[in-house]
Amino acid sequence: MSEGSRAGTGGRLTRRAAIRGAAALGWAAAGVRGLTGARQAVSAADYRGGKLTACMFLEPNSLDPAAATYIPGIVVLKNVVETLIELDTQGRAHPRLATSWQVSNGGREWTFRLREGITFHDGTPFNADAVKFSFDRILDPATKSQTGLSEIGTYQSSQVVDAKTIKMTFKEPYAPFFNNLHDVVLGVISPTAVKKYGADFGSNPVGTGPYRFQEWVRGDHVTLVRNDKYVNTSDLVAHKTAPYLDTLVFRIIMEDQTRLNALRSGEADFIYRVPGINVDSVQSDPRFQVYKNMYAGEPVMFLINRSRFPTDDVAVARAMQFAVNKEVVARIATGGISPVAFGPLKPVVWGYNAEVEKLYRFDPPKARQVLEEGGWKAGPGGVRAKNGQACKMVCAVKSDPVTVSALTAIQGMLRAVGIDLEIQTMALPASEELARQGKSNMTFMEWRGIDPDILTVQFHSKNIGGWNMGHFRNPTLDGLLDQGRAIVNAKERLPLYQKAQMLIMDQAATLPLYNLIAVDGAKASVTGVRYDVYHYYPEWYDVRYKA
Amino acid sequence: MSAGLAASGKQALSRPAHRSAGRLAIFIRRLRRNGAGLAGGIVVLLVFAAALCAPAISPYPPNALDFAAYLSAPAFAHPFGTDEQGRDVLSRVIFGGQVSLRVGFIAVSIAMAAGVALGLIAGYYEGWTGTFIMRWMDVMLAFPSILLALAIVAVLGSGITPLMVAVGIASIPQFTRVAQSSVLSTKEADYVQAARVVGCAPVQILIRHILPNIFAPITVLATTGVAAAIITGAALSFLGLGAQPPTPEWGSMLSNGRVYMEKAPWMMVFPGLAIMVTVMSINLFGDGLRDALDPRLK
Repeated sequence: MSEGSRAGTGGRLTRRAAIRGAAALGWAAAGVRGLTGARQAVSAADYRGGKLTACMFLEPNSLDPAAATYIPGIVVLKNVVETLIELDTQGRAHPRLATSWQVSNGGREWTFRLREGITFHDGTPFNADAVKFSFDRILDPATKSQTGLSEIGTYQSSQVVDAKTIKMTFKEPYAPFFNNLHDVVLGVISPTAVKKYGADFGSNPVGTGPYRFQEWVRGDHVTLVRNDKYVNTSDLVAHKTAPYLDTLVFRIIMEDQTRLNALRSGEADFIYRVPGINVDSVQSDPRFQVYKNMYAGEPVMFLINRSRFPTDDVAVARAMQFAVNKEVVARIATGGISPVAFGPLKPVVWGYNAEVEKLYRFDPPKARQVLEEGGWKAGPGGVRAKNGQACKMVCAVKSDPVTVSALTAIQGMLRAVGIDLEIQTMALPASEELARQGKSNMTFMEWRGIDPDILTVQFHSKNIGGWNMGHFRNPTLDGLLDQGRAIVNAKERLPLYQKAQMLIMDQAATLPLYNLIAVDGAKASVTGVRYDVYHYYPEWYDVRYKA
Repeated sequence: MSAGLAASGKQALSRPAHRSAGRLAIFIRRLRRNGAGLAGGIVVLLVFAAALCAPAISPYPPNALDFAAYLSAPAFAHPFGTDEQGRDVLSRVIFGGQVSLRVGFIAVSIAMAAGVALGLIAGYYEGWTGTFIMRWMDVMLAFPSILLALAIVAVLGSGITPLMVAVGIASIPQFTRVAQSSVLSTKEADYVQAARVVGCAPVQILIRHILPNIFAPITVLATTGVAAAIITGAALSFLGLGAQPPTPEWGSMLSNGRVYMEKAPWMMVFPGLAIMVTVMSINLFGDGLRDALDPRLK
């Protein structure tokens, strides 16, 4: 569980989350920067060319930006497809494919001025028609967009004003939309290529980015090659021409130890997700460097099903908060790298409410007291019972050793206060399906995003049957979250999300465990690695590497 | 008169199969001469004894969490070290034997019961019944047993009981094969013909006359089958489809240990050794048994 993503993992590799808010990011990014601890790299400072192999932990589900759900697809597409705007580490918007923008009609209309003279990899010119095509396509059910659909919010349609001006219309104001535009899921793709490849576009992405897609061998690798004609329009980078690397290969190795060995043996030049337990040894090896990032989003947590016996009783859900020693869980799952979590958001997310930290602390006697007061009396075999029903719960979980280890520790801790937890291990999709059906008392969860609106995904009652796998239903919370996403002013949004976090924790709808710090590793000679605004994955444009 | 003759004939005919006292002596003598087989047998007995007496001989309860003892290296207090939950690896290996041996024996019992029955029928009725059974077994044999077991577990769900059933079903074809070929070679024997002539019912012939005479190859197969079943069971648990936490099981301990391979190799080494030693001993014992039971070696 720790490492974001072991087989399936880690968290929800989905990308869907991301609904970000206006002001927000600055704080988030600043908070994390201190953690990015790559060692100063050596040599090859001016080298151009070469091939770099990066090992991912999961296969992309699609390379169509609109349909990509899992992180690896996003990681690849970031290099192929560009977006209208980009965000700096302070969360400020900068022009990219759009040079300027304007909001009107109370947030219901956005007008973008587009850059000229840009062409897609297939020679198609970039213009307002391509933007309209890319955005309208997300709404088309045939595109099967999930993340894109959630990020586009209340988008209705686009109007091509002229070749370099586009006006987008929204049903309702949707605060997170503008910042979402930096996400490659809302990137602009070649309409000609979509027509040419049809449903196969997801295996043949064509954009305007620094690298061109070459091939995707399923289960093995994705290869990108340098786009020699590339001109970087970003004002965030000094280098404006084609990227330095000739070839960028993304290998797919799901097993953690195997992926680590690929780095050690030299087979890989970079790996995503060094297993937590092995971080020390990679870090202390002069051949390698590591990048530690507390990426923005929700902590690693178990959603508590507040609609299923016995966790429908708030006393049980609260007792769990006191019963679990998170320090121990974090040590088991991440080798002690990640700090413990107390609320449904990571502290690096804008709007984090530190008050949640005062609600619960590890205190088994308190847990027993809460259960006693809730009517749960000691029963046979040390398992408590109320009205003749034993306090037995079940957790369907992906059969990843680290997640299972952490859960086994939790099982022991719950048992110590009289709660019986049965662990059922299975494949990730199966565990998620049971959770959607409400058949699991606890559900592993982890989500990325830089806006507190991600709470909507896990805790708004409209998402029951979807990603609200704790089946949490609270009209007050629904109201706060609905209000929060419709207001553009950050100062007005803040108190809503602060209240929402307290409410979620007061109702014990989740058991936060630790704020995962993702650790990536590379050969010491890899230079120029820069992380995205989530602090989740590196950008490859400025990277130089000489084998 | 003739009926009486037939009856006494039947008795006389069935006797060879039961004249086992002398055979047993030969068998024991032969087994004792086979050093490796004997050693294997002794180790198997020891593993058995340890599993049976687990609560008495384990230094700690297998699921006692002690987070202060996180990944302790082997030392006097924990001869095999501790795991990431601070649990004593030695105690878990001992208790793990209960699960692994149970999986091995119950799975083989299932396979043997079903497989031998099908083999007897297929061998005795060579017509379409036999052909149908054997072709069906060929289909099952076409899949590696681990794959077959995986498919069955996928249907039944994870846990130890489904695991035993899955491994058991996956091992049926081998027993059917051996039983059927043994029946084919036995059923033309004079004593079987004689039994048929004196009017024994097929069921009686199969059970009283043929079964005891194909006992030797089946026993050998069952012995090695236990070893194979332990391996398959451990493999499925390694994949997270068998024993559910916190149940100690060698395969799942191995799987859990691989995460900590670098920092705490003892978490993998000891359950791995337990599987290796047990399986090897059972196989050695099985080989010894085969030699001892081989009728060609007089």
